[in-house]
Amino acid sequence: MSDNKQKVILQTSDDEQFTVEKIVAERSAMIKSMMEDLGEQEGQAIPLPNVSSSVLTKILEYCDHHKNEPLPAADSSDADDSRRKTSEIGEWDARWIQVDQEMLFEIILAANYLDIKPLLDVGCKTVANMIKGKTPEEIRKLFNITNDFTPEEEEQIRKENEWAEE
Amino acid sequence: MARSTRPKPKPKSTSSRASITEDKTTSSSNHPTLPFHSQGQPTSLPIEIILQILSYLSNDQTSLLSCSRVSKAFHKLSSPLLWHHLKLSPFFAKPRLVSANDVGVYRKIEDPQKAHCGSIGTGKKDFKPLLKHVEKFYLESHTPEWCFHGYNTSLKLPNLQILELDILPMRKQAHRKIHLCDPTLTSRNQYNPNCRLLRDLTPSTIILRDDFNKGLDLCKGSIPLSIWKCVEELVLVSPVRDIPCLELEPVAAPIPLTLKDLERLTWIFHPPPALDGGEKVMYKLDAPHRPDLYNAIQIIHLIIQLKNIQSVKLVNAGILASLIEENSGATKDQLHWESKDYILGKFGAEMRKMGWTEGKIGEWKDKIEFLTFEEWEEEQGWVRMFEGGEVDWWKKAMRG
Repeated sequence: MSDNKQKVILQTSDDEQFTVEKIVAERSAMIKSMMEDLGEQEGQAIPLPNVSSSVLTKILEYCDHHKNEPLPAADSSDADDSRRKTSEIGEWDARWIQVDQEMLFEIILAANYLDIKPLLDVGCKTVANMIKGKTPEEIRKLFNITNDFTPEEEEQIRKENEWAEE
Repeated sequence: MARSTRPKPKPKSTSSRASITEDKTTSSSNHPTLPFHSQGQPTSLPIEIILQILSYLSNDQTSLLSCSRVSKAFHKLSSPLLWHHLKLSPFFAKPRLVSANDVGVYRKIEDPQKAHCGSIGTGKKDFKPLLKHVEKFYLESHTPEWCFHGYNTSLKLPNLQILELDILPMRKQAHRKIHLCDPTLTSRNQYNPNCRLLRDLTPSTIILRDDFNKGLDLCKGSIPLSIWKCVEELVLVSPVRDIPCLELEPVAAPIPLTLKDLERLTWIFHPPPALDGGEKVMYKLDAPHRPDLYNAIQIIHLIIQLKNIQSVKLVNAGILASLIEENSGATKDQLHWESKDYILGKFGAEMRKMGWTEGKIGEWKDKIEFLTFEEWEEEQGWVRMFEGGEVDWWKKAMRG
């Protein structure tokens, strides 16, 4: 029993400590390999300087829900895979990821940093769905980017795409 | 002291990219104690994540078009996705198959009436994306105007890997004027042997959609022979409903000379699309022209000509056996084995007639694999050729 319920301590950027089941923490390939490298060091916290406590709380919810699923293969080639998969998101995941945009982007960054592939997928699909049907200006707002095209360049792209749009 | 006021040095060549990634380092690792929710400074995503996000939109042309207008960095990221797979269809606004994912990906062939007709793919500035990004090209047959207008120019796609041609007769479009080189085949869509959209292409994989109900003849005039030059892989995609030309024996036609080096052959038999209508015809076991026999002979004729063939994959061949009346009620597995036995048996018999030794026959039989859609889907590489929606539709149609 105690073997299955082995705990790990995670320390966030704002210095909060979270004690979680090993099986939950191992959803993160980054934490998993860190634990393997460090070996068994009782009571030693794993620092996560890129993740805040609010984001980690949210992510641990996800990891806990999915803790019994098989881990994705370490190096499953992604280019092909991502194209094959549709932009559909599981029911639980879709409900879970209904957060404000700031939080969504932070979850994605953290998933990338912690190397939780399925979570990164869910996050990216969610953003992809947000892009659908938006105008360029709305997309700029979404990603906080400024339009750096000159009028000439804009015209050229318009021409380039004109044919595709018919 | 001066340090804090000095503007951050910008990375040199990647300035446009940096605008997206910039805050990532400052907000996180440099200031680990900073509260992550810094108001007024929205989190930005690094380039590789933006790319992953856009990849989920690869079937959504409208969204990608919007993305390409957002900024230079976004344009750079979305253009390859937008142009990677070029589809030209003269008639359809909608694709042949019913698949929600697929709608909107088609581009119509330029209207010959328009001034810019003839400029496509000839290196004109506006069409640089074609030269740079197109790796897969899908072409349906087109009106003759297309090859006469601007005939001196031709489509050039230097990065093309996969060429997909659809030569199935289009029932709904039968009244249209089709580009024919053989006027006797009026009901068929044919490509002109000098078609300016095809003549300069050198794909390594060709996907050919046809039911081959008039026999499999890859040499017959209508497709420019030059496109076979570099082909290593041939994928035949056939909807199976019935054999409308019962009076015909399968054609044992020679294949293009250059195709003799073909390494991989895949032949996919799929249920006909719902749009096709038409009732399924069933055949008696002793019928003179059984569709499974017809197809088996075509397969045999093709593969014995391919001296360097490494693998032959027959996907969903079980559907052939399902057209035999006596097999009604058989499970999918039984149909699969039935077709396999039948085709391999026929192969052996034909080869023996030609004087092949048992050893050689066995060696060739080993190269022929029979796969279900599910098994085929497990394989690497097919994804780049077919969009998921279509294969999902086939699987669904097979189930119910």
